Formats: sequence, C-alpha cells, structure tokens
Amino acid sequence: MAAISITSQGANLNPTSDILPYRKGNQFLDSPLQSESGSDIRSNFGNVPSGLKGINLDPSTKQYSLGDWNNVDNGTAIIINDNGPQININGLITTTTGLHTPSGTYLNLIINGVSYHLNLLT
Amino acid sequence: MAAIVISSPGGAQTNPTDSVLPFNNGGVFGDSMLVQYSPTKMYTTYSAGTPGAENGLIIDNGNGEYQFGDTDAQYTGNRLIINSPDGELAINSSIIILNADNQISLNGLLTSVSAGDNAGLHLKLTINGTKYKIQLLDD
Repeated sequence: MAAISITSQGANLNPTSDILPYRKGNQFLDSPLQSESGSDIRSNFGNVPSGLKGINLDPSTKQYSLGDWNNVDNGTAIIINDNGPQININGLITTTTGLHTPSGTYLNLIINGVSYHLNLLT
Repeated sequence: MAAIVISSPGGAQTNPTDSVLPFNNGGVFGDSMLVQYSPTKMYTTYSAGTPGAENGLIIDNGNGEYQFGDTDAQYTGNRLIINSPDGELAINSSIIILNADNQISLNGLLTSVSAGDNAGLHLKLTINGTKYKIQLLDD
C-alpha cells in the first residue's frame, strides 16, 4: 500500500503574540518587531528586556526613538517627543577640561524660523 | 493503489521572499520593505531578496549601530548614524543638507529668553572635520 501523505497548503502563525513575523523558509518566525497595542512598533532582539533597543514608534504618546532608547547599553539615542515638543539627543559627550577660547566662528542655526548664532570655542 | 493525499486548503501562503516581513496585500502575503537579515539585524530594503539593497532604516543591534536616512547612498547619502558603543551620534557631514544661507534649520524645539549660570560643561561638536565646543548654561 502506498504511503499516506498529508500536506498543508497554508502557513502557520509565527510563535509569539504581538510580534510581527518574517518568512524563514516556508514558515513564519518571530521578527524583532513588536506591536503591543496594534498602533505602536518597537524592536526587541530576543524578546528579552535587554533586547529593547533600535526603534520605538508610539503615536499614542507622540514619542519616536532611534538607537539605544531604553538605555540598555550606553543610551546613545535620538528621541523625538512631539508632546513637548522636544528632540532629545542622548549620549553626546561633554567635557569640562582644557582651555576653551573663541574660534571666531559661529554656528548658524534657525529655530522655529528665527536665526541664532552659537559661539564656537576651540 | 495510488498514494492518498490529504491537503488542507485553509491558511495563508507565505510571502515570496525569505527573511522578509510580510504584509497583507489584497488577501495574500506580499513582501514588505522590512528584512530580518540576522537575529540581531533588521533593515528596510528597496529590492527584496537583493543582497546589500538596504536603505532607509538599519537596526544593527549586534554592533550597537542604528542608521536612518539614505544609508546606502542611493542619492546623497544624507543620514543619521547612532553608534551606541562609542557614544556617538553623527550626521553625515559631507552631505548634510543646509539651506542657501548655510544654516541648520530646526522646527519644534523650545527656546527660552533666560538661562542659568555657566554649567561648567561644553558640548563637543565637529563641523567639517574641525572640533569645536559650545558652552553650556544651566537651566
């Protein structure tokens, strides 16, 4: 008697709820992208707390982040908060040492349509 | 006797390209722009299935580097690069788009008409390869 073959033409869901799938072979596996509310997206590599980094797009709180926004490693990230409105840049290095004198050069900046100049020191 | 084949017509087919995230395209799964390149790296692509065609957004968690913009220099290469291990945030200075007056224009940031004392800190900035510092004042 010939073998009985059972095939399925459909694909299964990826394993974990709230996680976007990606195709691997003929299966759907978990990608690093999560959507808990259906209107937000954030990346979590490995689905562990230490993997929460990369992007976080949350229209409900009007916050959009790129980088190490959850301060898992060094916290270098840019966070756009449209509630403020503020753009927070985290991880830039400041210094207190050394002699700082005017360079004779100014950084030209326009904020909300108004021109400003920042005194650049050497 | 021929083989007995039992097929299940239910369920959905996968999207066409391996490692690509799907989206519902009129009742079937199509390839989205998002690629799961490795367990630690994702990116958006302009050509699903083409190696190296990564542009727009790169999340490289293995190296702690995150890029947004024209990451593959398809046009001018204007992009934002965040390097978490080095604590650096870079705007590609060779192609940053300035307006005709060579000014950087920001919208939405709040300014104040007063500020506190010298904070004793300087913000380090590199413009066209020259290092500068900007004095920071307390709030």
